[in-house]
Amino acid sequence: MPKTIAILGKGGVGKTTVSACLVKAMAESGKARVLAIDADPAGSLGLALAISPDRTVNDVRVDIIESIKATSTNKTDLAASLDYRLWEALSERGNIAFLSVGRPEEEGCYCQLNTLLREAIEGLAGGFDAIIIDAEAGIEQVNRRVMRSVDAVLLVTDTSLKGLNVAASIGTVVQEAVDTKDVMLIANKVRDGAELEAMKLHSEIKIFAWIPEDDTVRQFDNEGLSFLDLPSCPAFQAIEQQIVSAIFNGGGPA
Amino acid sequence: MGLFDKVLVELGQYLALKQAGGGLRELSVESQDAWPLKNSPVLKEETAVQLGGKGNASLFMMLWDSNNSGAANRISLLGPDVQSATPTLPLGLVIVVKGDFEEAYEAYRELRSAAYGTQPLGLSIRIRPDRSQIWCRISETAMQEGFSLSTYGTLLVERLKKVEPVQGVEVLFVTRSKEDVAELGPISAKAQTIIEAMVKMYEEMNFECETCDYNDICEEVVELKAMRESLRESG
Repeated sequence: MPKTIAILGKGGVGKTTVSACLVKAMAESGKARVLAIDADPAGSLGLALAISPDRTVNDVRVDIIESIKATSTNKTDLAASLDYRLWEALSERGNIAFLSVGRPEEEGCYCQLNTLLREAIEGLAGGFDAIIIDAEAGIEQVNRRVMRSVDAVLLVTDTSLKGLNVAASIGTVVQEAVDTKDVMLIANKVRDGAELEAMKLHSEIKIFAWIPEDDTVRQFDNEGLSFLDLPSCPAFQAIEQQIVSAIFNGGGPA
Repeated sequence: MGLFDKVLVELGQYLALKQAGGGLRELSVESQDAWPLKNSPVLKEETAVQLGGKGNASLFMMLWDSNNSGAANRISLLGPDVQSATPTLPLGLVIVVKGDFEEAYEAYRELRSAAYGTQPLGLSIRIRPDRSQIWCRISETAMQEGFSLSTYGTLLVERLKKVEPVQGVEVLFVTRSKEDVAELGPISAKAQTIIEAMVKMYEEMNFECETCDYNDICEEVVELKAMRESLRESG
């Protein structure tokens, strides 16, 4: 059964870096087939993976709306057409497929189309071993445009009090809004054990895993290198050992 | 009289031409109970053969023949089968189902759904109805297991025969050249126009024929006209 993980967090906490590292870790783990979905309108997961999609899900949506306006169609044919176009929108690198959702809808209400699109994405995802969704802070976007249920939500925060508070707020919304089994708080860019302990004191949610501050990650980020080429480093190892192991291999939290 | 009578005549002429020129052969229709069906995406790196899709000629057409109530099934192939193929091939897939389809629109939806939903494990098949395009990737694993177009054709036959009132199914695969696929284009375009007219009638239930883009085809195809009148009376 595929496992679906959504990664949320306020801007700047390293959410996309964590997502990219998770994609890499899963893809290398037993050669799993990974579907990486960039549901953040800022569209940074593609940059982090150095995969540039030709088309986004929103492009597909706009095309379909234009074709509906031009010709009548029925649900069966529309669903098939969506499926075809989504495949065209996929970018692949080895055993990783990447889908960018794109910018939010700009006009009109096409609820049935949005539902069909989401069902098409869910159908596509069913053929993969792991689905990693990099989302903005709002889980409702994931719910509405990508997938109705996820196996786990990772809330990424940095070491700041503000980051922790925002993560707690997002966590509350997530618990109410989405069908998910687990909500896990991930502390990112942690300098040392003392900082981690201080975070634990201030956090309303238990910290599930922590990722150390890492110069190699910083370098990759600053130079715009693909995280798929990231060498083994403390941050990546922490993600492998604490997150991948727990979620995908049934191990417990660190 | 059937919806696709004239289209079927043109298709018959195409087949006769190809038969006369050599290269058109029949494949076996054997039970494929053992080949599992599963919607399983095939990634590029897993692909042994790609048919149709981006950069390759492709065409998908499905018709029904109400005049021919024979129960015979047939799978024909013009061109190489996938086991002896190069990594990419053009693909024309034409399906003709035989039976007495009284509820044409309902039959259309069920048949389309059945055809789209026939997804053999180890293949990714995507069909784009609005452009009559098809894209198929066959995995290395499926090829090693002995997958062939006979396998896919038989799975289509078996699936479509479960739709009432289908009595027989004929499947044609065209993989020889993009020109052979392109020759089906005008036939498919005609069929597509008929289908669009039918869909519009049923989906919009608007019978202002004077302003309708499909008025000409409705006048030409007796069945469409009859459909229109029947819907008008019942609406």
